[in-house]
This record gives sequence, structure tokens and C-alpha cells, in this order.
Amino acid sequence: MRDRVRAGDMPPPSAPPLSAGEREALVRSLDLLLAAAPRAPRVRLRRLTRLEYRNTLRELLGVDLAVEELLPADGSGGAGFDNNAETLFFSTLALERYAALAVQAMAAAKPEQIGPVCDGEPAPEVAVAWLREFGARALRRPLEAGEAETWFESSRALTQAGLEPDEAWRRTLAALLSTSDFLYRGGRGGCDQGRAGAFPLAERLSYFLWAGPPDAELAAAAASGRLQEPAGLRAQVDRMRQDPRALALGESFAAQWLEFERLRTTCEPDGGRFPTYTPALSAAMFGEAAQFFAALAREDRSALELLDADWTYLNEELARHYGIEGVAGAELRPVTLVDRRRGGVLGMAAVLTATSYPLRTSPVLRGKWVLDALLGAPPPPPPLDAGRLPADSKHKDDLSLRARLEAHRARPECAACHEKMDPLGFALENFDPIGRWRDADADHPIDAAARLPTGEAIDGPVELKRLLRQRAGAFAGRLAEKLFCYALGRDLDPADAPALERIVAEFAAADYRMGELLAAIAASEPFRRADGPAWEDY
Amino acid sequence: MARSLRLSRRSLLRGAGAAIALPWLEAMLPRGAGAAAGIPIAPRRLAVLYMPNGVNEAAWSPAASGSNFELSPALAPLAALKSEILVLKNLWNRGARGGDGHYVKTAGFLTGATIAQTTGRELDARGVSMDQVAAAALGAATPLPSLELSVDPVTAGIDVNVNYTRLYGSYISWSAPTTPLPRETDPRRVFDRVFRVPAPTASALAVERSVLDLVEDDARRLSARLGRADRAKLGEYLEAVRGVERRLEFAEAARSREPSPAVAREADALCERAAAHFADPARQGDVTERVRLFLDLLALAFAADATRVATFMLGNAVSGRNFSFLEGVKGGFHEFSHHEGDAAKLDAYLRINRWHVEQYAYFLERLRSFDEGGGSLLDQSMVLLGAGLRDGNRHDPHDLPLVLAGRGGGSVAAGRHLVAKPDTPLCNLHLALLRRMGIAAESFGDSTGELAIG
Repeated sequence: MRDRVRAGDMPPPSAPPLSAGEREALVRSLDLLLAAAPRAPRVRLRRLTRLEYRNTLRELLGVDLAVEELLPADGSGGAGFDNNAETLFFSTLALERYAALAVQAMAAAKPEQIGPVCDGEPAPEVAVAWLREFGARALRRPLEAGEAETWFESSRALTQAGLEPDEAWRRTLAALLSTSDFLYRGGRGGCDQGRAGAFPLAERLSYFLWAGPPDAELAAAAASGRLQEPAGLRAQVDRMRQDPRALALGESFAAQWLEFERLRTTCEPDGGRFPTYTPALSAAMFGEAAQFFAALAREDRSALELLDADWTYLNEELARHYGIEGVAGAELRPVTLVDRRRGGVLGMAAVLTATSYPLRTSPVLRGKWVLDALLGAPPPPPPLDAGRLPADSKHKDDLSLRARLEAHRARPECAACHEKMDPLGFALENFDPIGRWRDADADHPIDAAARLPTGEAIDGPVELKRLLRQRAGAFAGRLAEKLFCYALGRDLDPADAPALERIVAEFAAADYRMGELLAAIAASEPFRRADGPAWEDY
Repeated sequence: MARSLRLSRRSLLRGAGAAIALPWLEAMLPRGAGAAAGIPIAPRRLAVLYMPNGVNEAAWSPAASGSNFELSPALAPLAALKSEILVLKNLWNRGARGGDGHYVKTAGFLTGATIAQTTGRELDARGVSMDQVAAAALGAATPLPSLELSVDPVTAGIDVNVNYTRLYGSYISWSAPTTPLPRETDPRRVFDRVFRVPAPTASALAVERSVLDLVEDDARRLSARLGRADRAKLGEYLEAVRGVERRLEFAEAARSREPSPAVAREADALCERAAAHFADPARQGDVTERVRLFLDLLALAFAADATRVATFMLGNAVSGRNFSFLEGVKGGFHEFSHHEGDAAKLDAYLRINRWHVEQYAYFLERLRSFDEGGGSLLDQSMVLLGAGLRDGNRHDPHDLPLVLAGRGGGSVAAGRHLVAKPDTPLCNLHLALLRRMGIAAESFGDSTGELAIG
């Protein structure tokens, strides 16, 4: 209701209108009510995702294990991300695997990373001191009184049970890495007047920006209290988005938001029709999109460059795929684009492939993707008996894909949504199912001209990009909302609306620079709110 | 303690590089554990093979009922097994009506319940799946209570069209209404978990126990500080601790048993085949071989009595798997399932359905190749092949496409086309299967009685 009042949809035309001032006052008091309203308890305890777990082990022990081979994949929930607290499950199988991986990691770690174990049993005070430091890094918080001693005693007990001291020590540390304290985050939040304590905030920030644990500098900022001051928080956000670990924003957040993570899972262009679609090309496609997004954050560039830009990341294979000359080698690197049909996510093969079928493009899927991912206006579901087009555009009868779709739209119950989706997809028809440029599809010349329900006419990707830039506000709102959900590990409650609005306003005021968006989210009340029973009913 | 399952020295050495130290679980093949749990000595096995996207309905059901029926075009690959199968007609899943076209039908296939419409918040299948009811009752008799397998990884994202998280379409096995069970998607990992487990010494068991105590104590301390919702979530972890504990208890109680030479030989061969499949990038797209590695493994796990309950998803809901490797098919599964009555699309749809039936037939033949108790392993088993919807164009959970095979230790009268009364609850079948697994259930889901499969 609040949003409809704010947008002017309410009160309805039949009721007396509100003045601008009255409207603003009403929204403000609704915000106060929302903020004070009791919240339904929500799961805030978040198991580390596979990626977060891998990164955490690597940062802690310098060991990079291929955990994806052993751990079950995480599904998505909430706003569509795999870090959604409620949909991160646990099972006997998972515990077996975490335990096995912890043992593996301990076996692979260098001696200096696993403390005083090499020459017989260490002196208790030395061992406990080391455990206190290691435990704080592993569990992303200072250990409580007695915790390090407990772990040391456990190690001794394992020695008495017959293990060599060295082995007992490693098994103890492996056990620590199998605890719920390690595998989940958001559990033990020190509270400071309803806000997350410094260490939970540091943890939240690092998993948001890096999908990994805090580093020494962030932990130091938490310990000194600087992190909880606005300037200190901002300084950390600015430092961290420029760190190579912030590639996770592209590889995890953007890949899920823009759905090109499918290149790593279910996407399978037909090998016979598209022999150049190799694992290496697929990885380069994924890398282009992920690195482009991460670069926007790193260099504090405008998020509108996602809609259109005169540069991208290419390697030799991907450049060849795009018909671009002069790029040699397997390494992805920034390349200036002369031809503006590329540039921005709409010209990226990762997106174009992820929104196609194995043997043909889908203007419907691509159009729906634009509406949903970029503009935040997904169409309603098709009726259960909705038809499908042929799976292959090289179909026997002689209609073009476009002609078939237009026939389908003649059904009135289909028309309303397809009139919104299809034109956006038609404008991308020059990109084939793996994102190459084409002028014809199975002898039908491509017709990339279309008219939107608004009456606007577009022809081809360059004009589509121009059109989307005219909707910069909707796009920025969608990006901010998605990134906010990713940062929180949940979908939004009505009570989050004022916070999101402030974030979007700050983002817009900064000409949509990514650094501002990240900082505004990190500084927001929902991001900083304390975990646990402080505000949750028992 | 001697190794209970003896793989050849060669395969152990070959596997040593990839072998994973599984610290907490080591147990094999007890003799008599079943009897102690009050379960019949000749154990029965239960497997469910799930097909996404429904079937070409005109080509699915045989025309005649009873024992004198001709196999339909879709079921033709079962010709050599006709006396072993029970084709089921007219069962429906009331809980899966409405909602959306796929997720409700998939996650509710073995629960008979209606999932909560959500993208994640308060995710709830509103029921425990039939296989997990069996696993909870029988799991103590075998090293693994159950196996959950899948060709596809969990489908990512949420379906904004219908407001369900797509993970609903990736799970048919639910150990609790809020907890789907992870599926293994790599046959080599299943092989390791089932067959490559070192035998525990008493002191090793003691170490595992202390480690387990440590993490459990830690989790309890954490739990005490959490609010209600988080405490419930952490319950999954504590439940997992109990699961590992049960495996330790099993290991402790287990007495060694030599595997039959047939099982050991098969395990060797399988290990080699899996290694070859995954060593060659060009072959990894060979989904038929991947499915068969899983099926061979499952047959072997049943033969070794490593588990008695399993589910295997031959695809996630809405699977768009590219079946162009089949003759006469050019495109993805889900697209053809929306056939609109078009003859060419229906033909491709049928060919894809038939591929699923072929894999099922392969599995049944594998089970039939193992001797057990004077008959075959298939005689001791009940293997269900089915989908959560019938016609992929209509997404309708009436008259579900279902075939049961095996004789359930003499409790199933196979070799028939059983035409039930229209709209007989699918849960009547689930109930019949559970009872044949030795579970004295009064009812299951919306069951109105036991389906007469015996």
C-alpha cells in the first residue's frame, strides 16, 4: 500500500486527492509504522554456500580444494540467489562431506598454517594462544572465554585415544572446521543497541563483497570499532571492492541475477550445430560477463554501462566468436569496442546463450529476461496449455520463427504479455543461439524491427540499448533491489521498502556509480540490523 | 577388523589417488542386522526412477487390461521384461493439482502433498516422501539408509512466472517437510561412498565418536542462543549429526561379510568404466552412459545390501535436456512436451519417453542378473518408473504414467496392466509399497486404501 500511495496509485481517482505534502507525510508515517511493526521471525542463520565455503577454506589455510565435486549443489531461494538463508539445507551427506573436506584440507595445509604441531606436543599455553588466533579467523569472531582451552583439551583427549599428537591436532582443527559455528554464519552476533556487533558486520560485509571471510585488515577495523563508524565502513567498502576477491560480485551475484550461471549448469547448445561452442569458449563467455561486472564495482563506474558500453573483456577465442580482430591469447582483458552492437550485457554471448534453446534462439525468453532481470517487470505465467514453437529453427515448413510467434500472438489470451516480451527479443534476433552475429536464420533474413505496446519502435540491439537507457531508473531500481537481497541473503519484507528507497535515491544521486550502491547497501539499516534473539521472538 | 568388501588390489591402488578419507563412516554389509531390527531376512528393495515433463499419452498406456496386454509404443523397450512389470493406470495425485505445471507435480510426487508456493520463505513440501518413510524405518539395517541420485544438478533460480523456487523441481525425496535430501550427481562419488570405505578399528571409531561429540556440543551451545526460526534451521545440522552417529553405530555392530564374487567383479568393472567416462571430456556429454553408471551402481548397492531404498531423477522438472542424440529428435525435452498436438513433435516426445523406458529396462535387467535367495535381485525389488504429470502439454496429474517392476519378494503380482478405478489416489500405491517394505502404515498422504498390486 505504501508503495502505491507513493506512486500516486492511491487513493483511487474516486477519492479526494492528496497534496504532495500530504502524500509525503502519509508515506513517512507509514514508514514509521512499518519500522515498528513486529516482524515475523526469519531464518538468519546462513550455511556457507559452496563458493563461500571454498573461499573460506582457501583464505584460512591457503588450500584450494575442488569442493564442488563433493558438496551437493545449493538451490536458489528468495530473490533467486543461492545464499538465501532459508534454502541452504543440511544433511547427513553434507556433514560427511564437510568432515572429509576438513580432513583433506588439514592434510594439504602447510605446517605454518596449522600451528605448533610439528615437534611433539606443544606447550599448552603456546597451543591455546595459537588456537585463539586461529579460531578467531576460522569462526570470524573472537573466541569466547574457555573456547580455545576446550579445543586444546579435545586435542589432548584424541592423543589419549591413541592418535599421534600431530594427527590429534589436525583432527581437532578439522573438527573445528566441521562445526556449525564454522559452517554457518550469523549465529553468534554480538549486539550493540540492536545493530550487529562489529565482527558480525565484518563477516556480513566480506561475504557480501567477496563471498569469503574477512581479511586481517577488515578484522582489525572491526576490533578497533572503526568499522561501525560511517567513515570506517565506507573506507572498508571502497577498499574491498577494489580487491581481486570482489570478482565474486561478478561470478556469484551477477551470474545469478543475469542468469548466465546456466552456462555452468543446464545450458547445452547443440554440439552438432555449434561445434565452436567449446568448454573454453563457454568459460570465456562467463568470464566476460563476470569480469565486466566486477570491473564496474572495482573502478566505481556507472551501472548503466551494463546497458551499453564501449568496452568489454575478451580473449582470442571470444573475440573471434564476435568477429573482432586483434586480440591474441587466452587471457581475458579489457578491449575497446568500435562496433556498438556489442557492449553491455545485451551484446554478451553469456546472456544471449543462456536465454536460448539448444538449437534456436527464443525472442520470448530473451524478451522475458529483459523485462524480469533488467527492468523488474516479469510477465505473468503462460496458461498451462500454452503452445511451444518448434525446437529447431531449421524447421520443415517454411515459416520464419518470427512469423510463427506472430501467429501465436494472434491468440488474445497470449497477446497481452507477448506484446511486451516479443519485441524486446526480436530486437536481439541478429544474435544466434550462442551469441554470434547473423543476418539470416535458415535462409530467412533477420527482421529485428519491432514496436512496443507504448508505440515506441526499435530496430536491432543498438536501438534496444538506447531504449533501455531511457528506462535507467527502472533498471537501477532492479539492480539495487537484487543486490540488496543478495547482501541480506533473503528476499525483502515490506518493512525494508524505506531502506531500499534510500539506497536507490543515493545510487541515482551518484549517477549510478557502483561504489555508491555497494556503500549504500552496507550502510543500510537492514544490512546492519542485529542477528538473533535481540529482535526475534522466542 | 577385516575389510568387508574386497575390491581387487588393482582397483584399490588405482583409486587410491582419488580415495577420500571418510572419517566417520565405515561400515559394510552386516549379516543379521536386519533380523535384529525385526525385518525379514531376505530384504526387499525399493527404487523410484523419476521422469520429468510427462509423456506422449497416446503412446503410453497399453490398450488391454489384465495379463493379456500388448506393450504400448512407449513401453516397447520392456518387451523382454513383460512378465516382470505391472503397468498402472488411472492413479492421480490430488495434492499436485493446481499450483503450477511442474514444481507442484515434482516435489509432491512421493509425498502426495501440496507444496507451499514460495520462492524460499517458509519453504514446505508439507509431507515426508514415501521413500524417506521407508528409509527412516529400515535405514538401521544397512550402511546407508537411502540413496538419492540425479543426472542434473539442482536447477538454479526462482521461477518468477509462477513464484516457486526452482529447487522444488529438483527434489522428490524429502526427509522432513522442510528438508529436501541432496542428490548425488557424480557416480564416482556414490561409488566412493558405497564401496570405498576403510574398515574401522576400535580406536578409529573412538576418535570419530569424540569428534562427533565435539561438534554436537558446539552446535547445542549455538542452538541455545538462537531464536525460534534459526533453532529450527540448526535442527538440520543436529539431525545430520545423528545420521552420522547412526552410521558409526552401524559400523560398530557390523560383522564382516565377504561380498559375492559377482558383486566384487562388478564393482571393479564399474570403477573402471566410470574412470574412463570421466577421463574423456568428449564422452561427458553422453547422458545415456552417465545414467547407466548410476543404474549399475544402484543395482550393485542393492546387491551388496548397502541400502534398500533409492530415488533417481532422470532429469529435473522442466528439463530442457537436448535429446538431439536420439534419431528423429532435434531439440530439447521440455519444448517437445509442449507438443500442441503436432504429429512431428509428438513423435519426438515419444522417442524421448522411450529413451527413459530403455534406461529403466536396463536397470531391471541389471537387477535380474544378480542371484539372491534362489531367485533374482529383481524378484526381491520394487522399482517404480513414473512422472508427476501425464501429458506435458496439459500438465495434468491425472492418470499418471507409472510402471512398477519386480516382485517385492513375492508380494507383487507382475505381468499385468492394472487399470484402477479412475482417480484412484497415487498414495494408494505409495501405501502398498510401504507395507511391502515391512512398514505397518495405516495410511499415507490422501490414500483411501492399499492399491491391489499383490
